[in-house]
Amino acid sequence: MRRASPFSGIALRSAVAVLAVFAIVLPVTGYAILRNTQTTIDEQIRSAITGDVNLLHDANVAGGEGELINFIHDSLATRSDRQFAFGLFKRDGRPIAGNIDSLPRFRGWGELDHGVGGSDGGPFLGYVEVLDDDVIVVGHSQRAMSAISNSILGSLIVAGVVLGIAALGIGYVLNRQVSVKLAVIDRTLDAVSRGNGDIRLPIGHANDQIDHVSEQINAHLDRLSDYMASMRNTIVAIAHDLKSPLHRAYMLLQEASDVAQPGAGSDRLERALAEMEALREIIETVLRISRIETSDDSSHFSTFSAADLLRDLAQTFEPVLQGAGQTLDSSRLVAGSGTIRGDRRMIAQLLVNLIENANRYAGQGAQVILEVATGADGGTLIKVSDTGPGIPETLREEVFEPFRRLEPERNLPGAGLGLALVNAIAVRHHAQITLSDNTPGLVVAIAFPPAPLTSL
Amino acid sequence: MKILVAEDDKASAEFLKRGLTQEGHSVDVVSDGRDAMSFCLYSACDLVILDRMLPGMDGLSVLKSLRAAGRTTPVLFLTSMGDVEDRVEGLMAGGDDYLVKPFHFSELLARVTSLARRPPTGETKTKLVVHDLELDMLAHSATRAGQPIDLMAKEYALLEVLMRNAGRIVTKTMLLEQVWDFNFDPKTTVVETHVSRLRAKVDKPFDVPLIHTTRNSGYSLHAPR
Repeated sequence: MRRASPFSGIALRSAVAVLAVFAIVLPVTGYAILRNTQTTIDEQIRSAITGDVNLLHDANVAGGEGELINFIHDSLATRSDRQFAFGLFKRDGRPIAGNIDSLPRFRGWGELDHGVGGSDGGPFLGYVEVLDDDVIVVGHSQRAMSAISNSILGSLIVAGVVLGIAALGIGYVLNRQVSVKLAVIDRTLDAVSRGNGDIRLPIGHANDQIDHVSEQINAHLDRLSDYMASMRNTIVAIAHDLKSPLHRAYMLLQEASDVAQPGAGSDRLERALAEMEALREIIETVLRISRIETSDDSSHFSTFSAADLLRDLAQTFEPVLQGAGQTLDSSRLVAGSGTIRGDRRMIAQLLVNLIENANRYAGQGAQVILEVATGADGGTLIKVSDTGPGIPETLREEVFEPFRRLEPERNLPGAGLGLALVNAIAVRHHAQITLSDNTPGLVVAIAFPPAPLTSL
Repeated sequence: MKILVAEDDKASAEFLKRGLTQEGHSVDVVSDGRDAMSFCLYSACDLVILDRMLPGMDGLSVLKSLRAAGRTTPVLFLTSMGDVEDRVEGLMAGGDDYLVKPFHFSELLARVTSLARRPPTGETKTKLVVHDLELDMLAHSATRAGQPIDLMAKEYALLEVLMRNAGRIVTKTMLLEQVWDFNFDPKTTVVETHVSRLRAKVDKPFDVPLIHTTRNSGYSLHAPR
C-alpha cells in the first residue's frame, strides 16, 4: 500500500498558496507603509527647514548680515545633535559663516552633496536662497528617515519569515493529521477489499469533513455487508436445498445401477452417477467457499512451517507430475522455514489446487517450482511457479472469480471454482495473492502476514 | 452385524436398510433422536449410523448422551453439512467416522466395515502381518518374504492403513483422509499414483499380489484366498 506523504497533502498546498499570497501582499503593503512614512518625515524636515529659513529672514531684517552670522552661530552652538546645517555665503561663493563647506550650485530645495562640517555624514536635505548680497543655506539631516525606513523594512522581512514558517508549520501539522486519518481509511478500505467485511472506519471527535465522509463510507459498507450476507445466504440456501433431491437421485441411480444388466444402459447409469458426482462437487465447493468467507472462527488455526507443508506436498505430487511428464522442484525449501498461522488443512487445499492447476495447464515437459521466502512485511511468501504458457496479464484478475474459465480450459472438466476457493482461503488468512509472469510461465505468490509472536 | 440407522429422511433410511441388509447386516431404523437414544441404551447393537439433523434430539446430543452413559458403540455420523468444523465437532463429541451426503453406498459400506472391526481402544500393535508381508511400526520398516522394502514416508503410511484394514476395502476418500490428512478430493491421480508405486515395491518383485483394486470402491490388501 502506498502511504500518502505529509508533504503532498491539500493542507500543505493551501499553506504554500497562502505563503505565495503573502509573498506578493507583504512587499506591496510594506512599500506603501514605507512611502507614507518617508513622505511624512520629508514633510517634517521641510517644515523644520522652512522654519529656520523664516528665522534667518527675520534676523536679516533685524540686523542684516551681522545678525545672520549671530543667528547661525547661536543655532549651531545650541543644537548639538548634528542634525542641522547652516551656511552663509557671499554671492560669489565665499563662506561667511556656518558648517557647510561650499555653496551648493542649486537654488531652492535640493540635496546637500558637499560635506557638512561637524556632522557625522549622511544625506542632508537643503534649501538655498539668495538674501540681498548673501546666500543662505539651511539643511536638515535625513539620517532619521533612512533609519526609520530600514527599521520598517527589517520588521517587514522578519514578519514575512515568521509568517512563512508559521504557515508552513501549520500546513504540515494539519496535513499530518489529515494524512494519518487518510492512512487509516486507506488501511480499512484495503482490509474490506480483502474480504474483511466487518471492519469499519473510526469516527473521531473533531466532527470534521473526514469524519463525515467516514460516517458515510461506514453506512455504505453496512449496506454492502447486508447485501453480501443476503446474497451468500441465498446461495447457501439454494445449495442446501439442492442437496436433498441430489442425495435422493444419487441413491436411486446407485440402486438402478446395482440391478442394471451390463450394457449400454448400465454405462449411461454410470455416466449419470459421474455427472451427479460432479454436481455434488460443485455444490460442496460453493458451500465451502461461502463458509470460509463468512467464518471468523480461528480456533482451528495453528502455527506451522510453510516449507514443511510444501515438502510434504512435494512428496505427494512429485510422482503425479512425473506421470504427466513434468518435474517438481522443491529443492529450495529449507526445513522448518516460513512460519504461517492458519488452518493447515485449508492451506494444504490452497496449495494442492495451485500445484494441480500447474499440472493441468503447464503442459508436458514443464517444471513446477515450490519456494518459500520472507515477504516485505516480514511475513511468509509462498511461490508456486511453472514454466507453462502462463496467463495473459489482462486475464489475471478474472481467474479468481467463481465459475470463470479461460478459453483453453473450457474443454477440460471442472467448474472453474478451484481458484475462487484458493482466493477465499487466502482472504480468510489475510493473505494476498499475486499472479505474475515467469517468462515463460506463471508465478503464483501468496503473501501471508507475519505470524503473531505470541502464538509461536 | 446389528446396525441402528437413525435417519428421519425415509428414502435415505430405506436405501441404507436395503443396502446393508443385502450385505448381510441386521438393520433397525428410527427417525427420532430420542428413539435412537433409548434404542442404544436398552437394545444391543454393534454400530450406529446417526444423522446429525434429527427431530426430537439432534445427532450430536444423542452421541454426547451415549458417551456420557458409558456406551462405546461405534458411531458413524451422516450429515449434509460437510465442513471441517462440523466434522471436527462430531469427532470430538465421540463420533468414530463422518460421511457427508450424498455419498456412494460403497463408501458407507467400507467405513461401516472398518468401524465394526476396529480393535478395541487401548490395544496397540507394534507389528502388522499379512501373508509374508510384515510392517514393523516401531522400526518404521517393511519386509516381504524376509526382504526389506524401501518405502517413502507416504508409501509407508499408505501401506500401514491398508494393512490395518487387511481384508477390507479402503476407499479412496478414506486413504486421502488417513494418509494425507486431506478433507477434499484432489483432481489428480494422487491415490492411484501412490498405490501404483507401492504395488511396484510390495507386489511386483513377488509372485503373489497382495494389493487389490475393487472397481468403483477402493483398495484392499489381503492374502491370496
